[in-house]
Amino acid sequence: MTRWAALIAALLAASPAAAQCLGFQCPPGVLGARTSGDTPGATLVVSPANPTGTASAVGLMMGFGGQATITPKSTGKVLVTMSGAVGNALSTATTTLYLYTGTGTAPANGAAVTGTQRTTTLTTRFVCNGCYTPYSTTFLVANAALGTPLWIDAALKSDGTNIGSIVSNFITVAEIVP
Amino acid sequence: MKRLALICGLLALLWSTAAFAVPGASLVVSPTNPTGTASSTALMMGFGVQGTPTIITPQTTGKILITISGSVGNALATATTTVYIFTGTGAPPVNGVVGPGGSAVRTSLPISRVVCNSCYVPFSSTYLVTNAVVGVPLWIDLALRSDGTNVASVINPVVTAVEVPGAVLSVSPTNPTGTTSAPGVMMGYGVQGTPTIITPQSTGKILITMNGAVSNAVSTTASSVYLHTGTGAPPANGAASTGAQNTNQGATRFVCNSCYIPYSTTFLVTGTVGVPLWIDAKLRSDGVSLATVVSNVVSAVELQ
Repeated sequence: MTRWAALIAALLAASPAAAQCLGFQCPPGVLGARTSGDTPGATLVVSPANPTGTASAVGLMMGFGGQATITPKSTGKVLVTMSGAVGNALSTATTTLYLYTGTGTAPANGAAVTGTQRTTTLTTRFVCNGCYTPYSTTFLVANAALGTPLWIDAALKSDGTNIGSIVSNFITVAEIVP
Repeated sequence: MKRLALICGLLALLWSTAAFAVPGASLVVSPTNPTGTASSTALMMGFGVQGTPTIITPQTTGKILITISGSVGNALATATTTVYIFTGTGAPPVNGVVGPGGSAVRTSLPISRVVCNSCYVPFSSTYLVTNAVVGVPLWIDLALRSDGTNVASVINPVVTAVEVPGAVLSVSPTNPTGTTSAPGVMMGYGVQGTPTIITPQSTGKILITMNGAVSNAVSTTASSVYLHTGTGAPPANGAASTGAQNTNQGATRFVCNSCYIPYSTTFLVTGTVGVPLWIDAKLRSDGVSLATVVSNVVSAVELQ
């Protein structure tokens, strides 16, 4: 056996399980397992204060982006879920919720829509004035730029007269790493 | 020969490190609004054969976390509509056909009634396929069921799927006994036949989604669903609130008594490696009327 072959054999012998798994699958302590020295995926979980709603018929930003900002550092594959409850002061007013992401300065509450629209969630009518119904929307940003902060926000659209609003919102974001 | 052996050995070592790991598969598609159906048998929407088909080919672990969200409605307000997630291999189904042989129903989400004819409400459904075959394309589709007469439809659908490493959990608990409790009680998912318990193995970062449908026996009573997690002995159904409350998602009022509407809630928990973490729902009503949750699915993945 050569020196190099002996070295490799010794390394594998030190952790036999390494020969049975790939790095991303290896349990902790096994040669090849992800360690604290590797670059893990970025994560974020935010429960923003209930934002001021809007009666706008064109849609306005809710202003979550000041808190809901994540900087990808590994793959740029960012899984975003925003959930909560949506309502309107008038039960018959259609309320539309949009999931937006963007880079640069995050928009404030009440700002005009900006960034990239990712999803559209429509609630045509509610059971009563001011009633809320659950919502949840998920999107995978497949190619976010590494090192560039990405803000996440909602935009809300009503009928121009009656105030639509969202409450009890939670935003979870995870960069998916193999 | 020595050099060849050396190169092969080093390549084998490099392959076993995370830095050279094969990336997991991922998919995000916003299908065109499909043609709805009045069928009282679930029919496929055909997302797998659209311009950008909802087909993912597992590359590494075969653990595929799927979420489909959008809005659902029915031409008749009082008609029950049920939304299903299907997955399968082979040729994906077209719009309007029954799920092909070999496909599997992953989730079932009932919407008892909508507020008006052709009204839409939000829905979101998540499922973790734990054993997809690496290298074999997996199609993902929605199916819809109505009452045999009135057309149910979904609009603005978005399908996301990611292949994940690490510890995972995918459980569809038996429908739990509901509650009238005003402070709320636990549903007991952690002590069912397949308990909703996950033990972190590497990072402790656990992404949890719980979804299903919520109702109340009295339409004017609010029902709230909370996502709880904890360590130690998991609570039984009806137990007092325990563990950490992570999210809350409420419906202020329902279209009719005992009508169901969709709920879905997601949270990221930091657990301790090696320490089992239970996941449960807490349900709350007004102290008088019975709140219930049905068709629940709990998915959890450990992020790297």
